[in-house]
Amino acid sequence: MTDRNRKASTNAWICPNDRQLCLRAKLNIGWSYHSDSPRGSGNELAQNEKKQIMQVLQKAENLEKMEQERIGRLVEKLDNMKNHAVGDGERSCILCGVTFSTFGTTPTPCNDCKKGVCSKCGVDTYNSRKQPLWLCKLCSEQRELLKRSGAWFYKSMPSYIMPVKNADNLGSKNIRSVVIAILDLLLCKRKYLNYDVKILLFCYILINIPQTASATSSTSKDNYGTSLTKRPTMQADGSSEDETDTSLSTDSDTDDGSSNDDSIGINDSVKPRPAWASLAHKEHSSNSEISLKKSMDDERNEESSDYSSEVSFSASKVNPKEKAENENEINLAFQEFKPSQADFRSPITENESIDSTGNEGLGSLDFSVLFEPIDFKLHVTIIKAKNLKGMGKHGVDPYVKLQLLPGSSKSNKMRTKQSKTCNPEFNETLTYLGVTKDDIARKTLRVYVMNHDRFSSDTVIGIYNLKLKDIGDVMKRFNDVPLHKISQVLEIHVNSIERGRIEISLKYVTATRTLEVGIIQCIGLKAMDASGYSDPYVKCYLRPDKYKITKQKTSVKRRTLNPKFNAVFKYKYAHSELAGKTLDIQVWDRDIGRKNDFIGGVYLGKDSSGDQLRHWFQTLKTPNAKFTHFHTLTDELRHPAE
Amino acid sequence: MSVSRPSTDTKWQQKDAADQNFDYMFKLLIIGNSSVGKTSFLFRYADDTFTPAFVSTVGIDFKVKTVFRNDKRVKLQIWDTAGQERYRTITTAYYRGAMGFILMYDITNEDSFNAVQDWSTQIKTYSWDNAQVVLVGNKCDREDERVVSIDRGKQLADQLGFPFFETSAKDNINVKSTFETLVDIICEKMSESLDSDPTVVNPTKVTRITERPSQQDGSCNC
Repeated sequence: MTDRNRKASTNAWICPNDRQLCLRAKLNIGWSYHSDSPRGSGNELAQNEKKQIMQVLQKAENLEKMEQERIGRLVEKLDNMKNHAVGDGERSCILCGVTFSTFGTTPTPCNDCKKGVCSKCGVDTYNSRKQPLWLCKLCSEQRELLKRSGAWFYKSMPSYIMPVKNADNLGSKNIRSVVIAILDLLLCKRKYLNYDVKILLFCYILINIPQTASATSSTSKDNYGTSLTKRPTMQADGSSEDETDTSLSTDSDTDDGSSNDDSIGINDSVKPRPAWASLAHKEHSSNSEISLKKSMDDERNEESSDYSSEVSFSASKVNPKEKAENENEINLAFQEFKPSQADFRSPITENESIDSTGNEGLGSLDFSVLFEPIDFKLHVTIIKAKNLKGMGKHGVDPYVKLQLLPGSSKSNKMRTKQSKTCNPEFNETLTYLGVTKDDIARKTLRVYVMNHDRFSSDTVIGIYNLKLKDIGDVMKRFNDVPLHKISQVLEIHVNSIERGRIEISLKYVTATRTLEVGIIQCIGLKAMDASGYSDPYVKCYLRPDKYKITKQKTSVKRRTLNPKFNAVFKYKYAHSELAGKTLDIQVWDRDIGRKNDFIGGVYLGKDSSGDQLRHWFQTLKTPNAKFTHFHTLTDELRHPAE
Repeated sequence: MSVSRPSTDTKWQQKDAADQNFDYMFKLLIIGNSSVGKTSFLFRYADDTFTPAFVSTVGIDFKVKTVFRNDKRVKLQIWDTAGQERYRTITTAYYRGAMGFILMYDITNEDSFNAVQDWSTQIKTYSWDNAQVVLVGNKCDREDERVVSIDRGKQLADQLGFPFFETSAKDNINVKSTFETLVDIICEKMSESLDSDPTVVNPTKVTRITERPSQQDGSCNC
């Protein structure tokens, strides 16, 4: 037996661990179970079997990793919500912070956390016994997280991986963020720029206390166990000096390789920091008073060519071993620093055009896009913008505006709330309704970062165009996309033929022998009036209809391109009669004092094609079932004059 | 407007789409004696295919299928285990993560039915307490070779407290409903567990770990 054991594995002599012992005890088959069972060749797995099993396990591991990342995203979402909750839950709503009063907003306590929430920040739901339940959005999201992550089953949070780029935001509620806010304020106010370097330097040191304490000599990325985030640590030694120089060199886009891995760590961990701090950082690490002055002078008086000379110097200093392996990360790092550099320069070289630096310097934007093909919804979540270029004399009041192109201008624009800093956090989701796969394949989402101007019309800080066909139907997050000037982006031809879209529901009720035509809403109608809007209403006929007895109309919706009608037209016809009929739905623009304009129409019947035909046949084939569909309006008007 | 996915979508995006577009993820495990038809059952459900040839499963395998149930997209990771004794150490390791079990026997094989009790004990030993089990008598298309009557199956299922189905992977009988039942009872369990103690776990506590660790000693040269 000893012989066999020795052959089988060296571990045979080691006492089984606690878990094994515990399980054996549960099995009730005695202690000799393992040692007496043959462990020899008969039971060992063959090489190819092992290989096969390993492949399966590898596959499972990949899946597991994706799952952990998914859970990480969910956790991040909840954390973001928590970070943005401003109220105390007693005198003000725990989420939005609106103050409660007897006659205004009244609090309703959340069933889970017992804190007061306003009616907008709560969710009405049911528990498993169908009893009503009132939850604040945080607790509702928390429950959702438990369900989605599987924590409800395992009684603890499964391990997860936080999205790497945003790991730093988690610890934002510390001194660092306060200091950064001060720095931002200083930058916005501009006037402190010229003399208060010492304050900035001090601030910078404050910021970096945590990092320097945790800095390691060579490892730039530590993975603290599976449940922890990969988080690059920062180095405060000489190599980071190179990075700072490199980051100042926006003029040369080709020096990707001259940065090293550690530099990414810096960018990552101190990313909300404006360029001033990175300048200070340079000082801090090199410990040289003289170079501080020199570089300050450089910044103030000299042209950008000086930076390129610094670059060539620093590039030669970089240890090839430390060259970054991940180009993406470098690119991200660059994107992050380029705007900040311009941001820094603009106040000093006030009249100098930054055109020489191309698109850069306008700022960058974080947002995510999710298309839900089943509901025809496109969600765009504007997370935050960074280092926005200041416009006007009153600082910035940025907001984000969205537009789907091609499409009429007034119907598909949406905007976020206004913020007041160069690094605004919006965390707002804007949803487009009635977006089809066809749209996704064809259209472009244009994101405008706008600056509100109290005294004149708002100006565009920068824009970003996203071709929707690239997004697929999963949540896509875009981090740090650089903003472009509006003139530099190819203007997308606005298709004037586009007339909009209508959502119709059809149902044939056999009991009453009625066809119910529901006119739900229109999306993105063509503007017919000079105001850029229309006053739409919908007319419906069931052709052939010589005497127009089947004509039915909705009410007129004033000044809108996305009217919601929610009207139902009923036609009492036998099922067999309907087969030969055509439903003629027309959208018109009501004009007072002149002829109404035809916006667009759609025909549903046996002579139509595509979606219209399908929708019509579905309805007739399956009576008593409601089918809802979006149809694109055409300019075809078969029965024009009335 | 059934426009096919644009060709510019790269491979990983498609994979991503198939993998990430869901609400819940349930891990299921199919167990039972060798050659009762576990793999066939899974292939019928996941791929809608059937091969009469018997190929013994090596160790463990799994398939992924996303279903739409109760207005939720549920991604099922279904583990198919080897019934053979020699793989037992591998297969039992996966009991722990499974939320639901399909315990299968062969209605033409008395031994496989007698082993159900043992398998049930195995589940109790190795799995989480709240794991859900469905008892399945497979190969019900072979009526002429039947040795385990449907009543005996039902009786045993009642005794163990599991829902019961007689299925055929070959003729596609009750395969889908078995999985749907399992998903339903897991969903039910899920909402119950949240009602009893919605704050059973606090994910933010775990999140704190992502703060920078303190044991790293400073090595800055300033």
